[in-house]
Amino acid sequence: MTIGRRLSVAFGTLTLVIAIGAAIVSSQFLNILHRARTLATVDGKLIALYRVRGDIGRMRRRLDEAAKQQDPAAFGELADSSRKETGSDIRTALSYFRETGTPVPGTLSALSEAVSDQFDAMQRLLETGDWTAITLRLNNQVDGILDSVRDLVDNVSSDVTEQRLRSANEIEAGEVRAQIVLMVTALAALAAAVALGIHISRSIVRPLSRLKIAAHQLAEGDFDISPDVESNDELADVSRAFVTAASRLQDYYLALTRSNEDLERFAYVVSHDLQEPLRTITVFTELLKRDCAKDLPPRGQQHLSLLAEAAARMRQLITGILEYSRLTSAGKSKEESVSTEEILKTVLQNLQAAIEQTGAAVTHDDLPRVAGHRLQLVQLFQNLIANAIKYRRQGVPPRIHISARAEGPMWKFCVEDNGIGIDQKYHSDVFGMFKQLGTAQEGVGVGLAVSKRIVEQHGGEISVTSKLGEGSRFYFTLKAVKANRSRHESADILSRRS
Amino acid sequence: MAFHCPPVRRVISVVFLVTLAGCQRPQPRQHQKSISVLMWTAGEAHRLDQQLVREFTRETGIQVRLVPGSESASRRLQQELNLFRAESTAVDVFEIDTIWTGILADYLADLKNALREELPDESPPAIANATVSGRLIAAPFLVEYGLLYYRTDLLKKYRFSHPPRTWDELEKQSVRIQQGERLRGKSDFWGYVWQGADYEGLTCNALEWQTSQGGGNFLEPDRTVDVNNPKAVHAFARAAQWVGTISPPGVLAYLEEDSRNMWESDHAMFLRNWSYVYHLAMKSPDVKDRFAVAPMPAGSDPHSSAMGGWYLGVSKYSTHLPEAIAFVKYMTGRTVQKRRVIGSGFLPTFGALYRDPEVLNANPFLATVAGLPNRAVRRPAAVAGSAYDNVSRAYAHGVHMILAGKVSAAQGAADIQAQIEHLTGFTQATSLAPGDTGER
Repeated sequence: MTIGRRLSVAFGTLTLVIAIGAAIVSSQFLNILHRARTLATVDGKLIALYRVRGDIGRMRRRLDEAAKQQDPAAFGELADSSRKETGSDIRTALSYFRETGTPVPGTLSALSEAVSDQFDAMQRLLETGDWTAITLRLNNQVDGILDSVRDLVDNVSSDVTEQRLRSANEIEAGEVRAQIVLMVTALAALAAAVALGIHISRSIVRPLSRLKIAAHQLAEGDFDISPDVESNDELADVSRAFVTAASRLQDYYLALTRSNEDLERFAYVVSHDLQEPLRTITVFTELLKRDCAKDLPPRGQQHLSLLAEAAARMRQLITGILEYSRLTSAGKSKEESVSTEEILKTVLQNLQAAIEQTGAAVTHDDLPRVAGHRLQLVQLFQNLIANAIKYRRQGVPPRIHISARAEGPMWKFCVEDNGIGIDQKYHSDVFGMFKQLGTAQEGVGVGLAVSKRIVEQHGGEISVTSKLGEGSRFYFTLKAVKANRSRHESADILSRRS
Repeated sequence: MAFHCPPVRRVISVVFLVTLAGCQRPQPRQHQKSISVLMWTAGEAHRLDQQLVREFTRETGIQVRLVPGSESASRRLQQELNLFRAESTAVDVFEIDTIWTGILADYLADLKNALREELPDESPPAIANATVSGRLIAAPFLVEYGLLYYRTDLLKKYRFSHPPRTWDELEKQSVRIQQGERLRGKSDFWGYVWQGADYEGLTCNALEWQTSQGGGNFLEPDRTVDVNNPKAVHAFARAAQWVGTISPPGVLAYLEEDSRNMWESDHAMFLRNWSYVYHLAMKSPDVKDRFAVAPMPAGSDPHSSAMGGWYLGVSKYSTHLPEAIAFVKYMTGRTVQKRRVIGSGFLPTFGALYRDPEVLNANPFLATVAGLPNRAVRRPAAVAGSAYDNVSRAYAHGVHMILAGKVSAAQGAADIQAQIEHLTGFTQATSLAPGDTGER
């Protein structure tokens, strides 16, 4: 199942659990509400019956009084008003029973007619003036009705009490049920949430962290990654694509490495094998010069001298190629913490003759320790300073300044001279093999190429800014010594800089 | 985590199938036949009836569902009419009032053949009252007769050897005892109380006066009207004389209960009332050991008692006709009638039971009214049909006018005659033309 589907199912399940719980609780509350309403109408029913009982009792008492007075007008009036009052209250009581759907007790349904019959009978007796019969009717028949109404009230009252008790119990039970359902729903929702949460985090977060580890591995150059995502969701897709990409990268990398090695071996072999015939040429050219030069005409001597010069140049070229190719094979060894200040000292000693000969002034700021290979860094600085001396302006003593400033985890060095400078259009070419810009100077044009190689092997970059006739600035970056590896060394650098 | 939709669909289809199955499932066969009976069985007095119904079920295997009827007679009639008009099969057996036989005849099944052997042949009036167009539409279940209740202590006190056999004797004894009691300080003591209000009760009273005088019935079985005749006029005039003399003026407003109130509270010597009052009077502290019953007094003809009570009829829409008829046969049969009179005091419909030693042992007073089933006068419900109610009202109203002295007896009788002829379209009885004073 895909992640999207899984999430929908999870939220759907939660919603369902909560909805079911809510529905049950609502129905319980509706039930309780209905019970409470019933309770109210039940009370109304009883109150209406009490009123009817009161009416009839009052009517019976008052009519009895009036009969004793034997006042037909008063009796008639009282009978009329009592009839209306009782009739309306009986109707109210009846409507309470009908509204609640409870069966109307026989006594109540017959009551209206019975009371009405009594009034009719008494009215007729009143017309004949038979007070004895009226009193007897009040004592017997009306009392009988009153008794039956009392019985009715008692019955309904006990019914109502029972019903009230039952309703109260049911309301209480309903509340308990609702609370239980609420609790169960909450627990079920919680359990579902926890289960779904664990499941989702397992099924998403775990593969994701494996992917992360694999990505870091790849970043470290380890192509042999297997994030091991076994599901068949989006993450599995990503994981598979990632593994495929890594294995492709590895293929390219291996192919590239192989062709590079081949190339280097070729360069080494070529340059090494070329030295042998070249040495022969040089030796025999020297021998020729020593033994036969005086026998040659001036033109021949001139040719011989050009030959010797060409051979010397050839040797330089081959040496350069050898150096360059050696660099690549040497770059694999471990880096160490190197003081560039000491390196500069070595370089200045190496170049002592050239400096003195040209009257060059080499100055420098405080220089840091960097991570690198001492010999290669000596060569780097030497190449750049030698370059600065070599390409000096005619009649101007070279001034060379070396500086360094921190830039992130790197140090950025600058070798500044006041030489002839480089035309803007050659700035991108100066670091190529055998790109020699000057014409009359020595060198075979591998110096800057070697420098670039060294800087790049150290994980840095090299660039140049220059203006023709005003001097050049070569910038290159080198890795600073990592703090945790040599804190005291960094401290040294800092203290020295300050 | 696998969520499947199909279960929901499965549930729906299962529900659907179950519903279908429910629809197709044949109705469970009723091994036990069951009938519904609309009759009054609530209360202490009917405890025995409930037991009898249970016994019927035990004997026959027929389940009986008792449907409670309205307590009010007029509402009960409406209830039954509504069921019949809807051709309802909900109720198989109906309890019907004596005076509804004409109104409900069309909706009831003929029981004549079914009940031939179990008919109380000794009480022709009750049978005749339920025979409409030659069909027996119901069987008498509970009968009531008009009886004369009298105070034995006062009869003895004033040295009368027997209760009044005739209206003349009643008048005489009333006058004497009323005077005597009044002299002894009971200023509002009366000789005779009855039902004189303008209502169905007066119809019963007046009918007793009229028939015991040989004045006919206000509607005869031959579909003639027989009120305006000298004997009836005489009977009405005599009754009118009672008002204010031996009967209180208030009697013109008396219903059954008022007359009973007066008599039971020692305000009267004689009381005309229904047979059921016997058991009530037995519980009345003032009269319980001091009264007895007699047949209603005779006039120029033998005494007659109006008949009331309830029949059991079977709806012609009933889907359980044999079972319903079996129930009616059982409840109206001799065995049950005997158990009812012994157990509950309900008057039996069989005349022979009034002479049964066991019955008389439990209800000694029945000996004095043994002739009732055959002397009973029925109100002309069967012949009046659905017009009975209006006819009876016109009759009672006319008599009430005479009693109240608003018209003379002769004029009143003529008015009643005309009114009933108008209401029914029937003609005057030929045997007794106006002015004909011949004996009947």
